[in-house]
Amino acid sequence: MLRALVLGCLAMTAIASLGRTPVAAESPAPTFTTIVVGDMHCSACAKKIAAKLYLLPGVLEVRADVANDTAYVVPQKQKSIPPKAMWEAVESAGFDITLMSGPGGKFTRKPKQ
Amino acid sequence: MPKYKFLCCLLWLIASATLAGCSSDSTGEDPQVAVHRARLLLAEEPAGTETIVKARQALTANGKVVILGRIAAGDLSPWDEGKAAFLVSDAAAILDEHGHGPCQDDTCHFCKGKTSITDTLAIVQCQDDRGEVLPIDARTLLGVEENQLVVVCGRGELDELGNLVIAAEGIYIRR
Repeated sequence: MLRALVLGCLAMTAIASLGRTPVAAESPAPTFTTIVVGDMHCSACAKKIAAKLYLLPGVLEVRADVANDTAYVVPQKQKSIPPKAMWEAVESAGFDITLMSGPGGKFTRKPKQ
Repeated sequence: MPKYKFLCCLLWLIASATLAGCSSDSTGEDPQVAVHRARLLLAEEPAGTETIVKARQALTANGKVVILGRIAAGDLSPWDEGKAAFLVSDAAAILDEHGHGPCQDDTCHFCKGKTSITDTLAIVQCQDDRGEVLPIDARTLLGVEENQLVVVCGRGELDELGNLVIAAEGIYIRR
């Protein structure tokens, strides 16, 4: 009888766990885009570039490595940012891009899309 | 035998409670909060986003603005405790940078046009029909957190201190 009771308890626990929302598996890290500009010069320049990039829908985070003239753009999950839009955003901040590399491809010239 | 029956009933009750607890909303939230949340939170990002600085400069008579900001206020708390109001800063104001300090070059073109702190801040308010700020903490109402990026559309005006105050009509959280 006691064994039946233990088995019953285990069965009920299993049933209860079925009703729970499964814990979402950790999704892979978002794929970021690396943008190398001609001369980032200083932190104010980096902020100028970041301000333009942030205005693009889907941008979650912009990081900058001023010493290496590089900006990194992290998209929101499940979203992609057109390379052309990023290129134009940096240009509109007054900077030339020497290299852009990310999920959309590798570019040394303004992308078509 | 009655002892086992009692135990079985007890186990059944525990399992039922577990199942019920997982599927229903047991927060006991004020229904008005859900109504305002549904009215304010946007599922899609609105178009025509501007920086806070640009929005201030382009402020028109009807005050329509769509700004991107980060819920942050430097060393201060961005929250108006217990109210549906918070501060947003320019998204790029807090930039994660490596390998360089402040600009040392007086001839730097981009450092010349620096803006004041007030220009890069905005106060976002969620108001009721009478224009009063809702007495619900913004974190509870919108589920927002410090340092999150938000796109706020609404009507903006400058208060007597020169702060841009936006009566939010829609808020999209970038996450």
